[in-house]
Amino acid sequence: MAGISEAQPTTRSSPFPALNLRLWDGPRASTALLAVCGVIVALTAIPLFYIVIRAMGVTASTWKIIYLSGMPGLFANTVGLTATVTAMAAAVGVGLAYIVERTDLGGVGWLRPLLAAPLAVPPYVGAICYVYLIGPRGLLEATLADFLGLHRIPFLSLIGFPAAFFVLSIFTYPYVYLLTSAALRRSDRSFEEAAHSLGLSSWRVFFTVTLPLLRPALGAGCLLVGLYVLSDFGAVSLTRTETFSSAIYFQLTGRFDRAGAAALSGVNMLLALVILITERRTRQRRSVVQVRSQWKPAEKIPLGRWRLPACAFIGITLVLSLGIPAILLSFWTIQGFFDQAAMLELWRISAGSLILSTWKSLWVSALAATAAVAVGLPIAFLMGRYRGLLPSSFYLIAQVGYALPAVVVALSMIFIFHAWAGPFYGTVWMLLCAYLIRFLPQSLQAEHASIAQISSSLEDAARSLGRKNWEVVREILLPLIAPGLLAGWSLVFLSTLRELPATLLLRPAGFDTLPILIWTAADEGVYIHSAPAALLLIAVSAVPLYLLLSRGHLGAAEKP
Amino acid sequence: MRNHVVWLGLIPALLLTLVPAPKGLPEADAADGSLVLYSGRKQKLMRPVVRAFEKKSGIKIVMRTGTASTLVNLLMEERSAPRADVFVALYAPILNRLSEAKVLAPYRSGATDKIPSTFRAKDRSWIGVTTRLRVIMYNTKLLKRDEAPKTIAELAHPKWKGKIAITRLGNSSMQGHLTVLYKTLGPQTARKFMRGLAANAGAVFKGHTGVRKAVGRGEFSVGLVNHYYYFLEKAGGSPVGIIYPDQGKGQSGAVMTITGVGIVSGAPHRKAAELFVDYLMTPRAQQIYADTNYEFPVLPGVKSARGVPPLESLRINNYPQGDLSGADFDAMLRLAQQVGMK
Repeated sequence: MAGISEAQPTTRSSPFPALNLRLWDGPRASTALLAVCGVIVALTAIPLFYIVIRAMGVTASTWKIIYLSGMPGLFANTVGLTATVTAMAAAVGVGLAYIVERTDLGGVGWLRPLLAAPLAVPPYVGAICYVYLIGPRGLLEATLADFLGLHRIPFLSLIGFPAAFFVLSIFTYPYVYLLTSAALRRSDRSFEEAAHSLGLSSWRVFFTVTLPLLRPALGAGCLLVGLYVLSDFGAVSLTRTETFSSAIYFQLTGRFDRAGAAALSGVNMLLALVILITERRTRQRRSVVQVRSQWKPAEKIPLGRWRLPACAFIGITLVLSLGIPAILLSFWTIQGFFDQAAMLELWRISAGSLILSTWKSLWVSALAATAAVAVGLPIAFLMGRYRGLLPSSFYLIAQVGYALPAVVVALSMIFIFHAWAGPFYGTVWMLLCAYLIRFLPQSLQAEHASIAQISSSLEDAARSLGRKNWEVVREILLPLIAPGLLAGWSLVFLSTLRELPATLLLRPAGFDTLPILIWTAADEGVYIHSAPAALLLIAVSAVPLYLLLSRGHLGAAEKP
Repeated sequence: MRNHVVWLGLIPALLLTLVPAPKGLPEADAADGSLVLYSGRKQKLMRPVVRAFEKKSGIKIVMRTGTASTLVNLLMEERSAPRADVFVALYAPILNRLSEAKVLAPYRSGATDKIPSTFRAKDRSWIGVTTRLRVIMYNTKLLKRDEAPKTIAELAHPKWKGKIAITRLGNSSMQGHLTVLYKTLGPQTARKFMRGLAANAGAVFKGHTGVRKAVGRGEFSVGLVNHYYYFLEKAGGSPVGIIYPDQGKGQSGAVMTITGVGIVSGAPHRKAAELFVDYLMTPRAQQIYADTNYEFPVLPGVKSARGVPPLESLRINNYPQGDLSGADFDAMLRLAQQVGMK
């Protein structure tokens, strides 16, 4: 088991392996494997190309209208929000990781998972809470203003860009926190101690030694945050901010012309590409070699007079990202029992729909997760066992969903099913395809990471003892990579469970998942009605999240 | 040891995948003969009538709600193999567009004949259910009644800059309203008005609930809504007032938008669909809409809810609903987008 617990966290393995220019470097894969992989790659790549083609086919007059209807502002909003949220999440995430892992604060055992727990709260649920609390004439402002006899106290309310920035930051920092705290636990202290012994202060050591060592993990975390912000629909539209994702959504739902949505999607994809390339380029510049054999546990840095600020920092983060949403949602849920209209609506009329929605959510998430694990396996195997241009480009293309915002994937599904799969248009299978393309990278990376750890000599040995190929896979490979499969499964399950925009756009009649229940009620401004579904979603999400955290697949519980 | 835990997790996960699809999936429903309803109206507003119909007829209804354009796109694409039986939409141009494309099939019965001919398609492929008026609502703590704008045109005046809440262009009633304005004012004047309105909008909400709540809590002093949103907000105890616009002598009157229903051509459950359409025209269903949502019934003799003035007492912009074509709508939308309406 030692080999596995030292594994890199799955989310860290690179989505873009270095390209080798030869088609095959070493042995070739069997035709059967290649054919299976070819079909999978083709199916995931078609949507991408289709969008690009549609975006290129958009007429100049449509581009003009899109430009006139606010493209420059949209662009500035999207880029600005992505950059600021990523920076904030990075600062908070690294700060928390450093305090928990490197200082003598204590409480590491419960702080580690607790600080990652906000991942169970979808940002749109957080946005519902905060718009109610600190939106314009929200609870805070209205109460205080009425008390003081004023009408508005503008600086007490947050809406638009600042609100989106705040909400997205406090619910995405765990991505950075998880990856950097795992890296901190893994990394060798000797560099930092050497710097200390040369007389540098703790701050200087942090900025000149620790931070550069954390660069790859930080980069991967920022990548996740940045791509998330590009893809977010719920939180930005609840806070009345417009980004490409929400603009595409409204273009799709409010107009009859899809050309505009395709054009916006094209621009959005370019942005995602820029983020991916930036992350990759900065990563390549690093060259730090750590010698494992000299590894020793870190000595804790005494906090001294910084203890209070550190505690406050952690406390505030937890209150904002966990405490307030939990209290408010529970309050609304309880309030629902005393409010006659809500009682009728929620518990007499739709209590059944709450249970049914939970069941639909679980069902579709499980199906998507299993499909993603199954579809990912051949590609991960090809990538893990063969070298060359062909395996790596297959691996790369299968991960387009990583860079495609959910609304763009949904749009491509609408195009493709409309053109070639009419009978399945508007069915749950179309939705499932969207989930699969969007979340395949998550299962793929988990599977690839675990296959790469297992030496192929085990399989060779089994073959030399007369086992057939499929027996080798069943008896040797699958049992060994099972933890990786479960990790990939849980990741996709978790992501599908909370998915909102693609579900909104593609769900068939009556297929209301938990996020849809939450959204429909919040959209009508009746927060009491969305609270029970939101609590339920958080509770259900906590299970796969706990599984991932406790087994170290998100890098949190891993002990050196 | 650890691998056992993994399998304990994986096995139930895989089993969950193998169980049949949950009930409520369209595949399951199509088989048991439920009526499939596409509704541009919100679930909450459809539910009372749907429940009442289900109870009375014993026919189950599966509802898909969404914005009108999403559903229209869907209906157009499903034309060769329709999934929906009935379509409920919120304004005439969209229904006319579907009539033009023959997506909706004509239907005539004793029940529909009772509805005045001004409230239906020329070819009888859709029929009105209720009508609503476009009104101005204001926050009474921020504005006195005589300070509030009295005409729709006033909303474009610079003095309201940042003080008005409106809905997105994607909203059906907004689209219906602007299409009527486009037809009655002409492109030049309509363009000027929309430019002014877009510039004055302090916030653009997805729907009218957002608008009415923002005006109700005092974030904005004025909102452009359908009349019943005022009554809903008032019922919630907010300090709001209503202006029926353009009521002065010689003025054009409040713009009306109609909600209508049509049966989909080739509907899988045509009989059930007819029963449902007939049911919507009964005094009982009309009364449900009047009472729960303060709308104006189309069936003569059904009273509007308490506090809602009878339609006859108001000056109404009488542009015929059946004349708002899909092309008018497209032209309006292009214009609106060009002046930067969201």
